Amino acid sequence: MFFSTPRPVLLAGVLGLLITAVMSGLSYNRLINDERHTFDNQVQNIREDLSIQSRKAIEALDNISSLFKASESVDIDEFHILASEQVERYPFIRTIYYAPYVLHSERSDVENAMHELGFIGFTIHAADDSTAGSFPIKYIEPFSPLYILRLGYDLLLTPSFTNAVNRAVDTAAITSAKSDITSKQSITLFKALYAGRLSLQERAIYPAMKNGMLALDIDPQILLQEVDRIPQLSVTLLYRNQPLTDKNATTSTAPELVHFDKQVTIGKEGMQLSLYCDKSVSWHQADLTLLLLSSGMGITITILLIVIARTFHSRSRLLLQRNEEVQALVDEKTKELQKLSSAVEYAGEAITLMDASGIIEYINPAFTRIMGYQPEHIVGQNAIMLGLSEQGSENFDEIWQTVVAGESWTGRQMSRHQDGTLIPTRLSMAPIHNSNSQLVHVVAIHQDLSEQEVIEERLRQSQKMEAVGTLVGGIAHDFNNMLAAIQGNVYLADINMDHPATVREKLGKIETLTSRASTMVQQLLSFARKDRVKLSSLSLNSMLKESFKLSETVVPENIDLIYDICEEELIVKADVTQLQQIIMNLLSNACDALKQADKPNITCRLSADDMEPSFMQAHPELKSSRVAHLSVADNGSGIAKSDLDKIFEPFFTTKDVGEGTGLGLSMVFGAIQRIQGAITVESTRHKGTTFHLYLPRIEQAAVISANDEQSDVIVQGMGETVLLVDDAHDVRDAISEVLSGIGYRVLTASDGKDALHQFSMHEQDIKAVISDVVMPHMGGKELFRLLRQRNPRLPFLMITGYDSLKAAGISADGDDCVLINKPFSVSSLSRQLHDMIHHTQPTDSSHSTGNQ
Amino acid sequence: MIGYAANIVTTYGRQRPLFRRLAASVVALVSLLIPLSAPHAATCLYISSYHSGYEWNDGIEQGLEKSLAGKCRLEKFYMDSKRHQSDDHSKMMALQAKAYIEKLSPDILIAADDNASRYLIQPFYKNSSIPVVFCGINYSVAPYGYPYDNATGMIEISPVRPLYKQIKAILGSVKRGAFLAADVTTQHREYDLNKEVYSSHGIELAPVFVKTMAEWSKQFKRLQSQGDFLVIGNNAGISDWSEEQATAVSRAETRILTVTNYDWMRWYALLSITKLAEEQGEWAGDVALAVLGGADISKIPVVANRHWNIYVNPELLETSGIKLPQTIMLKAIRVSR
Repeated sequence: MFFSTPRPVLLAGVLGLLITAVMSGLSYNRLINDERHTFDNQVQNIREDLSIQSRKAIEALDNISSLFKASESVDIDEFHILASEQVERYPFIRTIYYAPYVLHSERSDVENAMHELGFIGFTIHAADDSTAGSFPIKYIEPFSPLYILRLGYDLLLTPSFTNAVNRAVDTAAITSAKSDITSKQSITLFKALYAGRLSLQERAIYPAMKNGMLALDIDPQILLQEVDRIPQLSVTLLYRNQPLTDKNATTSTAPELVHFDKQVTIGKEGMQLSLYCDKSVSWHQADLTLLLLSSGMGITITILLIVIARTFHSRSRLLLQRNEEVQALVDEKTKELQKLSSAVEYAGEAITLMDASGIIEYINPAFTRIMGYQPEHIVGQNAIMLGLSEQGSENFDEIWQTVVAGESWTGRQMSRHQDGTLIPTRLSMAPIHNSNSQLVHVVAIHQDLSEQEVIEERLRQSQKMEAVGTLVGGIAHDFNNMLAAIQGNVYLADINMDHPATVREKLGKIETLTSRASTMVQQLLSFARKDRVKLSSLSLNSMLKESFKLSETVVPENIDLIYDICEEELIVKADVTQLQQIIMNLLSNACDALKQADKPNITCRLSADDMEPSFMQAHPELKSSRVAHLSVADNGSGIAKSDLDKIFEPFFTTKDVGEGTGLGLSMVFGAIQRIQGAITVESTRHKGTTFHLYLPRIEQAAVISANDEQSDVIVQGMGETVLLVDDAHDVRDAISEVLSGIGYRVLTASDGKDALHQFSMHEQDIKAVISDVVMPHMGGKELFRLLRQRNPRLPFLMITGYDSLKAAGISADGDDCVLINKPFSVSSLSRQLHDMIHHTQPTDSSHSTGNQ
Repeated sequence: MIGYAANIVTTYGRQRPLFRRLAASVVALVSLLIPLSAPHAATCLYISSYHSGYEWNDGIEQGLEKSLAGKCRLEKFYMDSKRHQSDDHSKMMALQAKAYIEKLSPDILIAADDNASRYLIQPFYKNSSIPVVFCGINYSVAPYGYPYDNATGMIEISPVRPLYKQIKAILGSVKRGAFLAADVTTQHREYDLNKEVYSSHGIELAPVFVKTMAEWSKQFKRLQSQGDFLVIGNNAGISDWSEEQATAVSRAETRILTVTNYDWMRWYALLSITKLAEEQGEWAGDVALAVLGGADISKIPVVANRHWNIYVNPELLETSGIKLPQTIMLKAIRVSR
């Protein structure tokens, strides 16, 4: 039990007991000291009181003595009056008496005188052999029957008085003696009275001249009663070491704590008294309350300490347990936080933590890696003001307001790197609220889309190549047909040279076939172009018409391809190439689905729709309810219901190996989402599939048509000199002949250097330069730069058989030249040349032109 | 028998009001129920020479009651010898008293004034077993043979000497005075006592005894110019005594220091020093208690009275123009009619 007690409790108990012992000891000492101090004070007070009373007794004697000194004879009534006053005033005076000195021979005279005064029976009681005289008591006070018994009694008959009386006579001082006249203990003071003033020597010589003695009995008990003392204090008056009063009997049988005693001397000449006081402090005395109180307090403190210690111990144990729990929780949370921190630190996305006002508090290493900012440069800065997006702070402020309003925002952003370059990112911003729903932080995650977009681009390109492969297969048939037709018409024209009308008809057919072939090639090149996605407003109607023309070469002839395009012009903001690719993909998929179909057909329909709110809720990605609705439907094999949810996933395909990549519909889905449209599919097994594309419509007057209708009018030249540069001499000769035919003077050069030479020779005459782009020795681009140095306003027309801008390596933003693609029509060439020479700007918003 | 019954009164201490007496009766009734083993209460029999209502007697009784209160049962017997001054009456009352004593068997007898000792104590109880304390005996106990073995007491002496001391203190050098009193035996004895005191100090004291109010007035006026002071004696014996006239005469004629030893004459004297009846009673009571307490009565000496009352008459002081010492004025009781 002892060893099972907790150590704090044990210590508290021991400490409490020690405190109890110390307090009790201190209290005991205090008690004893207090008692001793009190005892000393009381003894001193008693001594002082007794001393005062002693002086009063002497004073009483002096008062009566003065009466005798003032009068030759003192009558009994005078004595009684004065003596009774003293007795009444001082209760401790038991008796005062006057004893005249009476010679033996004078006794009878004194007795007779007393008889005459009315004291019948007054008799002097003195020793018969006394010849020297006696001191018979003549007057006595109190004048009571008991005291007057002593009248006539000679003081010298009392043995104890003899010395005192003689000493009083001899020394003229007040002397004292223990009285044994009565049964009561008393002290008697003596004062000698003289008839006159005698010297000590005279008193010795004439002892008979002493005329009396005043005596005063003191009751020691009453004397003690006159002093203030406590009952517990035992006080004994001693006279010459003989007790006058009895000690107070101690009735208590209780064990004594301590015993004090003290003896002091009181008075000098008159009353040589000793005071003996003693006192026992016992357990029963009330002063022990302090001791008991301190012990009680000590015990109480002990109990309190034990209780506190127990409480402390329990609390400590509980706290320890709680602490362990909390520590475990902290460790767990710390691990989680470390995980999260590590996740954040090692995340591939740039993560930014901002406070509610947009001040950046944290960026992870990925942010530095992606955005180029070091923490010390950006932490503490306001994200809104940093202009991290391509669109600047205003755009970011809109996003910020959305987040501050409590909503998350996700979208593609072109974020600005620290070095100023733009990085495609997917930005996700979300508010962080505290428990009071107050916005405390905003977290922003930038996902670098650069690599993804490269991959997407590659994928897109591979898709294109795949499509091109398919396309080329289809085009080759038509192209061969057209070449065969051209060859046939050339043959017919050649054999009918004599019939110009027939020749002109055949040449017209050849030109039409050539134009169709050119258009087909242009479309193919455009489809294969690796431009970046560039959203622009375009007429979906025109774009679809062109696409369907191209698709005729893709769709097998056995498939009935039906177009239903509305009359209303529907303008959308999209990338032309992507749209064409979408259509090609959908048509290709439809063709694949129709391989086993009976009476296969594909219906392409374009209409303007206003979507229901329910549809908008189901498709939040759709930006506007006003849409251009394009549907591509087939009556093919349909898609299994289990596959419907997966068809837009990348690399999901139901085709055989080698027939499809599984990327087609995925790219369609991504492209539609990019232009904030929606795509749905409905399919019934063995009945067919319909893809619905919903593209947000916009209101825009000026749009790009897929194939602007060009005027066939040939603008004649006015004999202006034109330098024509082309390394292909067939082309150079044909174009030179055409230009000469429409009124221009033509100088030719085979490359750039040759052209520079010609220009140097005919600089004043040359009004415009027409140059191929890719040539040996010096290309068109270098030539353009050098000629512009000589004549910054020199009109310069680039012609190329390649994809126009890429092939030319010319930025549309920087170079002030016009580019047309081969083949081109004479009318187009004549119009462009005329416009350049006469300083008229081309109609196309871009600086390139051709058969777009 | 009527007088016998009428002159016996039992009381404890002073006369009490009615309700106190009722309360005392209840206490007495209760006391009857106390077991017979209760301590025996001593009985003190007071035998007065005079009657109840007589001022001197009443004073003695008051002192006696004060002394004995609660300590001794006090029984009283009045001989009424003041109102009946014949020897036969006194002898008869003494016999009645004796009979009463024998019937009562008191523990002690207290005999007040001369006639009680003369007619009762001396004849019947001299040296008997019953202790006797006497008081109020004038001047000397010699006529009655005191002291006896069983008797002691206090004699009654006029404060002549104290009065002389005051005259001496007031006037300083004194040579001649006069003594004016009723022409009766007691006053002649009183004059002798006074003469002894004054003559011992070389002072001549001329006696003047009168029998009528007119003579008293005439002599009072005449004596104002005959000496240094006038001692006024007792008026008892002046048949036509008139307080008004005496007052008027004293107020009109006082020129010198007039003194008296009689309490009732203080209205006509400038300074009065008078004996106390209560002192006699108290002393007798104290002695009785001491004897009952075991004291040997034969060893208690006969004493004389020693307590006085001092009176001054402010009107007469004003009339005479005499100044008294401050010590007397502080102690004295002022009286005026």
